[in-house]
Amino acid sequence: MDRVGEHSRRAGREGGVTMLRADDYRVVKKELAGLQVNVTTYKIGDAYHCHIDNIDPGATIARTEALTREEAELAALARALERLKPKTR
Amino acid sequence: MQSYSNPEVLVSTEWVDLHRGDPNVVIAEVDVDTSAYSEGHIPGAVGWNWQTQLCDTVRRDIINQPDLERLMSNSGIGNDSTVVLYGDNNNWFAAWAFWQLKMYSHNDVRIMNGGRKRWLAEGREVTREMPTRNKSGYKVLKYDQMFRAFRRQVEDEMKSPLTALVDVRSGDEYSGTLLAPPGLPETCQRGGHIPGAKNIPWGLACNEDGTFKSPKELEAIYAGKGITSDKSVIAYCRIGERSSHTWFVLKYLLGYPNVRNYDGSWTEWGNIVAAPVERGA
Repeated sequence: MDRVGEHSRRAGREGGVTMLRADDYRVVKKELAGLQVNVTTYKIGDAYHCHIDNIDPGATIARTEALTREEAELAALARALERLKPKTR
Repeated sequence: MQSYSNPEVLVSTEWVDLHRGDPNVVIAEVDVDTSAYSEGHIPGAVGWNWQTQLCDTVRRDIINQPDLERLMSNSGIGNDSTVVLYGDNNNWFAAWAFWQLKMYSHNDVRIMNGGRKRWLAEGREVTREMPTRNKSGYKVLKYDQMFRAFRRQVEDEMKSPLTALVDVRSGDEYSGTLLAPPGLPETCQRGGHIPGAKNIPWGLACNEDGTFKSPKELEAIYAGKGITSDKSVIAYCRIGERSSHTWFVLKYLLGYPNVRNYDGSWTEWGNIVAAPVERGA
């Protein structure tokens, strides 16, 4: 999913509060351990954030933070793979 | 274009951006992933932790009245405040909070359509700073469990043609292939579903951007599986949070008069000795 709209205000300070925004917002669908997942990345302040959720039902299974998108994604994918071990009976 | 039955309970990201400074509007973020709030949240929004603040932390139950009053008061919410809830995963736990606030009879509660995902995707402002709010002295005016179903009620009503059970978990959980969503703890001894329940995963109610589908689309999804407004509907999932999302859709967006959330859900039913269980799709 691409950014769905642009907001007119700039990040900065408002009423003494530091304002930021999520830049470079991106959602990519992937298959991981046989499951469909969303890999969402964006930058807030100086850090890239990545979180991975299993599309059905949508629970976050990994969340990471790093200086670059690639680092954040790689770390999140590794963490998600570790956690996504299907349990069947 | 057909509108939702109770359109006032849903506000857009634009509306929240315009009103987030209003003294009578209090915004609360409730995430599945409780670390999301600290990453950045809507300026002025308080953060509620569903694992510690929206439940009874001793027995398995919703938040009790004194704790709810304390949470509302500490959040600066008065009895006349407009509370706007939003969160990650298409407002999954925002709906859980909404359901509880309605049982405690808070009048003006709304959900931000699209939740955290849409706010971030639109590039709207966020902050990491916590808001400071004056305590309000909030008092619950009435507690009513009419939106809640307990196990005994489900057992009594499950065979009635006037009752419709809707299992909002994933297909694999419903069929019994999985005991819990991948990555989440298994909390039951047996897999499957309550006999007679229809499987309509909660996420079907949402668009890709996190917003709710149109009334016409929602009606087709639920009525198409026999979940109609003339029935007494009971929604359930694993622990009652996903089903509070479906409860919100049926009760407020489609206007079904009689909808309850069975928050005991599969974690309770799937552990009851000798409870009837169906498997398969």
